Amino acid sequence: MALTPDDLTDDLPLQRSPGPTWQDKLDEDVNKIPEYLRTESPYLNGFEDIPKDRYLSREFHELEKERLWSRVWQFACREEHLPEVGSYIVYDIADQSYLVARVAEDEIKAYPNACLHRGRMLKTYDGRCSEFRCPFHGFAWTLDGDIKHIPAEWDFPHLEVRSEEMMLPEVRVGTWAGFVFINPDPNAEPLEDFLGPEVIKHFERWNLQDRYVAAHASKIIRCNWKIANESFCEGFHVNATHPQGMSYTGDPQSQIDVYGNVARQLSPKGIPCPLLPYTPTEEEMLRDALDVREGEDLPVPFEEGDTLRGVLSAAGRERFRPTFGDGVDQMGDSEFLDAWVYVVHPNFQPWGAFNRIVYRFRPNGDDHETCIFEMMYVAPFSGDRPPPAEVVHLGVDDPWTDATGLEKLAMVAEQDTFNMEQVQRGLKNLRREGVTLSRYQESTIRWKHDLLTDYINRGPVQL
Amino acid sequence: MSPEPSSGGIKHGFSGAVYAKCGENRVKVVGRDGTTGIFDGIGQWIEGELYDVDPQMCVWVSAERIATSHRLSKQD
Ligand code: FES
Ligand SMILES: [Fe+2]
Repeated sequence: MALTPDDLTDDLPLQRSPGPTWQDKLDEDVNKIPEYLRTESPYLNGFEDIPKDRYLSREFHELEKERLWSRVWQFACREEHLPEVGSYIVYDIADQSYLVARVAEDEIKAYPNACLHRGRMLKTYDGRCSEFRCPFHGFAWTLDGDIKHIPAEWDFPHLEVRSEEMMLPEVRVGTWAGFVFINPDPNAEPLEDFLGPEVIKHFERWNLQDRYVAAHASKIIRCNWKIANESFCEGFHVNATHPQGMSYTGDPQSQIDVYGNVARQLSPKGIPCPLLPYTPTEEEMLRDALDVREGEDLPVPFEEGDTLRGVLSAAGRERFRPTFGDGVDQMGDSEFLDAWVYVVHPNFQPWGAFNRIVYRFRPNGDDHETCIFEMMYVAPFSGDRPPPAEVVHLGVDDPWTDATGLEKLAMVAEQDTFNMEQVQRGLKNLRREGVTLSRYQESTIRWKHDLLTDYINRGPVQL
Repeated sequence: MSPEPSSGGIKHGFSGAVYAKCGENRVKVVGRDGTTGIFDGIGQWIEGELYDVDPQMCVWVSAERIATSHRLSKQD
């Protein structure tokens, strides 16, 4: 029966892709994942378009500065980036800059990056120090933020009576799974409440705090940060953007769950995309998954009766055994091969299980038409903690494949990046007010915009 | 048609055309009906009787091919 506009409510039954689901594949796996990792929590909230101004207008960027970046928990660095007392990093977001420093063995603090004398940035690059001393006139602060030194103090009698004004103001800091977050809003909810109990529980078994940054690359892209971010918030694009991946990635069968400020998308491997006009064999799927081309041999043993899920999960389990230990035997097959994409509002994607992938998307300084997209691997290690990888900085026209530490994922990112700038340009030509979203497969994008709307509607931050 | 592919091809799931790198920034595409075309790394037509192409497949095939797969690589 044909739909009428009145049918377009959230009561309209939710349709899912034809073909087996991620849950069906989990039932077939030899090593299962626990039930709490399988909970379903879909997100439906209408069918409205997303206004294109959100990506194009300067005014919206200004609103994001005033009402989003000034009050949201945001990933600043890994704890390992602050290994010693006195280690600090400079975290920049839009036109704001913060100093994030380890001030004691077990304490991290963050401060707006400005000298309280005449405003110079205190630090412009990461490092280690025993005090924060401004390079302009030499005012200095202890790591804890107390004023330590005023050169020619006799000339600042007013600061003697107003000494409390000379404490570096603090910005909220929280840590989770080895990630350090800051929040400039003094009235923000605690980080744990922001992340929520489900997501915290999901990540407990993967010990991301006991990992290290094994690769890290950053690239400037000519698009609004949300365009880059949203490229990784749905699997629907695989059929056109990653055509080589269709035979083995069941992206339309992904499961999408929303838990407050965090969403996740679980994309099963070993299910062909149902849009394909033929059914690939397990061996064909495995060949494509490993980018084995015509005339080349599979790099792993494959026998009659083997499946992609069986072969890749076994390979994954053995690959992580030396570093993660025999705990790998308690893990499900899915944790070694499916894409466990967690999306933390507004701009952070720490993938779950053993994907190792971490993405972050930020405006490129105060420019709303370019952004910084970072990719990292956080990998298990054994023995002493290795130092985190140096960041490979890629310019707008450098290919991701220049960052070889990203392995084949760099080739995948080339395809995603190929779209981003063209979306930014295309939106300027679009003769519609907004972009339209599929109901389920792109629901994470709707959820992101709904949260963004909530932040904007709350008005400016009360300091 | 010259030049010859410099790596094994990949068959496109929808069209059945085979894409193979043939030198720097060049991709040779052989359609299911045997027609061929040479395209650059973002799918711009260079020569041949085949015109329809999937630019994303050209991006994939022409990219510097990194041997270590994030699905298999050893941790060390
Ligand atoms: S098909 Fe999605 S942007 Fe064109
Ligand atoms: Fe993608």
